[in-house]
Amino acid sequence: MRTSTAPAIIEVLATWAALVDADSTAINNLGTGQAELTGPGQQYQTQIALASRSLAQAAEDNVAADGSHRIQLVEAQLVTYQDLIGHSHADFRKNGGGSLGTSDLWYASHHLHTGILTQLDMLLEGQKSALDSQLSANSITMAVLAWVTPIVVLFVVLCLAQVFLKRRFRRTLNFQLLIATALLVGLSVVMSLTVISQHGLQESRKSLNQLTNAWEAQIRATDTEGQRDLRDVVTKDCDQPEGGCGVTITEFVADLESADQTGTEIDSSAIDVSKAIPEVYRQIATAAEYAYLRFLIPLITALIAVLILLGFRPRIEEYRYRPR
Amino acid sequence: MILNISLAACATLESAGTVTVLGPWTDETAKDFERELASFEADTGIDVIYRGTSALNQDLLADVKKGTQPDIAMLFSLGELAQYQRDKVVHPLDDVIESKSDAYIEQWPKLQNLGTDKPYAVVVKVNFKSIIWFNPTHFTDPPQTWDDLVARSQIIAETNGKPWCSGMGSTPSTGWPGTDLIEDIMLHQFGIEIYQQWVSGELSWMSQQVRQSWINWGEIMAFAGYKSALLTDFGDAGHPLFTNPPGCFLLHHPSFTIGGYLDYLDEIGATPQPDVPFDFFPFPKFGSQGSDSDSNAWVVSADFAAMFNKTPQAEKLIQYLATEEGQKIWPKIVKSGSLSAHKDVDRSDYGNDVSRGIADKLTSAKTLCYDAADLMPATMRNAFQRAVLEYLSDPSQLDSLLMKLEQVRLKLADDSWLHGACGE
Repeated sequence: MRTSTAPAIIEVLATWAALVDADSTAINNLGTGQAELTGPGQQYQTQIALASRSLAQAAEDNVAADGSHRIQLVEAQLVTYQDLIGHSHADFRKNGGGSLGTSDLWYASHHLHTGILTQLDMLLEGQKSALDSQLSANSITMAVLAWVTPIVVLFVVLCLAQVFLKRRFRRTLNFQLLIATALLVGLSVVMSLTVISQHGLQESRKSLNQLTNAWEAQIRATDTEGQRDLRDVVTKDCDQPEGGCGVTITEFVADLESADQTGTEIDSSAIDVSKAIPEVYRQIATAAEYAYLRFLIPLITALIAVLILLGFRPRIEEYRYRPR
Repeated sequence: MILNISLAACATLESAGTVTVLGPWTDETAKDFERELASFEADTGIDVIYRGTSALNQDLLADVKKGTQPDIAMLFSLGELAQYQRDKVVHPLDDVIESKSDAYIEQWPKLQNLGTDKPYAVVVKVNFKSIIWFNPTHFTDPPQTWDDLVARSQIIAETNGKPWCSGMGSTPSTGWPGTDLIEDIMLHQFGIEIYQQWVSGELSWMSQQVRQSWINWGEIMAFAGYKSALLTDFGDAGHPLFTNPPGCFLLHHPSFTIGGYLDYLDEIGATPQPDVPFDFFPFPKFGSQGSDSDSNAWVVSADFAAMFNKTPQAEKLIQYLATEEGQKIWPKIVKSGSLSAHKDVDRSDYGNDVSRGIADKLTSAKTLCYDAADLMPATMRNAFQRAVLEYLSDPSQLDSLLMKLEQVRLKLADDSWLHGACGE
């Protein structure tokens, strides 16, 4: 979770956020006539570069089964999107607007929303699903907790065995059983740390969930604003005698109005992503610090079993009248 | 003995390898395609790994450049496939399939050869393009000639109806519905010979024939609404055919549009009855200007399977796709609205009367002409599609657009053009 899955989720979200920001900026700049000299704007260029970088990082961190294919598709679609924005800019520069500049802007944003963002959404779900699988595969909390009673019982038995052997056979402390007892104490410590680590990972997952939910809401709020601007640009000159804007735009406007009616205004300042991400990474790093210890559990358990056998073997042999 | 039987059983179940396929079909269509390949997988033990993409050209180009190309790719643009053949990226199929087969009309083996003496592709599905769709509830007595068509459109416009539906949106190939209609006008108005010259780069874009075709197309677009055509996705364009009152009456779209109609009718809860809500009539003739043979010539397009990695598994799949069984894959997928070029595929293999009617037109056609833009070099095709959008934005710049298209044509090398767009 620390090395790949959580970063993959965060990078996909970062890509999504950057693209929505770029699109909204381009719509605002190109559609409102500011763009003759500046084009879609420096902010657009910066966000596109950020999106490309985040996508490349997501490709490195990807854990979803079909993730590589989706990322490759997004990369190809992103080229088309930038091309369309470029066309729109050229149209606006040449004609000061006109239906072609508006159309290219519409094609670009429509392509982003029906193509690229759909793929990113599926990519995000794939990463989340992989994370859930990882966490449930690593979950040993219940198994560990089930061993508490046997460990305590075994500890008591080993202590009583030492006392019994000393009194019955007049022996000093049995060395193997003593080591086994020490290892049993060590096993208890390892199991405790593993449970703490697992709990920490679960808590980190919750923090990651909170981050992603809040971030997604923030992105959607930005996107809605951008799409409202797009609606205004595109429908500006829709004349019924000319045939209107057509069924695709009619459905787009209807969907936007429906979302406006049912949605609530999102407080976009509710999360500071630049602070929330390092905090989540810190939680994951702390929780994962002892995660490797779970591999010691079967090893220590096996050693304890061997030592107990070795410890009792001489007494068992005595009863069988076999030479030691 | 039990051990031997077990070992034999294991050998049968063992996979005979995999073949990767890249294609343009996604979502439900992709699932339908994969399902239809199940019998091939069962018979051969070969696992087909299909990947669908809406950006096929870009994806394939990126894969080829990285050396990670799929074993087989499905392309509709023979112009692009021909470029891959010139770059020696795609493998000839002369040792895999018959270069000439009586199972197809002559046109298809010629196209599959990409202008060489060896086959480089197998046609897997055909789309009939010289079609005008209408809703029989609102439009009857289809016109037989272009002049009738325009006159009927004018009547509808005068009664405050919108005669034509249109939608150019189809990223990254926005504009292709416009190029389709210009091609049909070109073929039916000026004939096979002029059409072939134009497709093979031998006819100027500033010729009288090309200019007149654009003007005729512009007439139809005026009935559809320029801005509406620019801002509507091609897949949405036909929806107003089914509203009451109808949002439009006529639509020029390929045969695969049937799938979109059936999906839309499902979505709005209308019972899909192919004989009722939609029907088609073939592209009308241009009176006495076209010859008799030209009036029985139609525009088609197709998807072709080409082999990018020569493996035994890829060869087996190519062979299968060329068989009668393989050719039935797409007709069986009712919502694909696709046809087969194979003569032995029976009309009963198609899922509805409309598809059967289109299949009848395909098999009885005297001449089939391949989609012009799909045969042109990619640069020319892209410029053609772009010019359509620019015209719709400002029809007054037609001559300027044709000049720019001509400049593109003149810069392209002679050997980048394909010949033989039409065949009988």
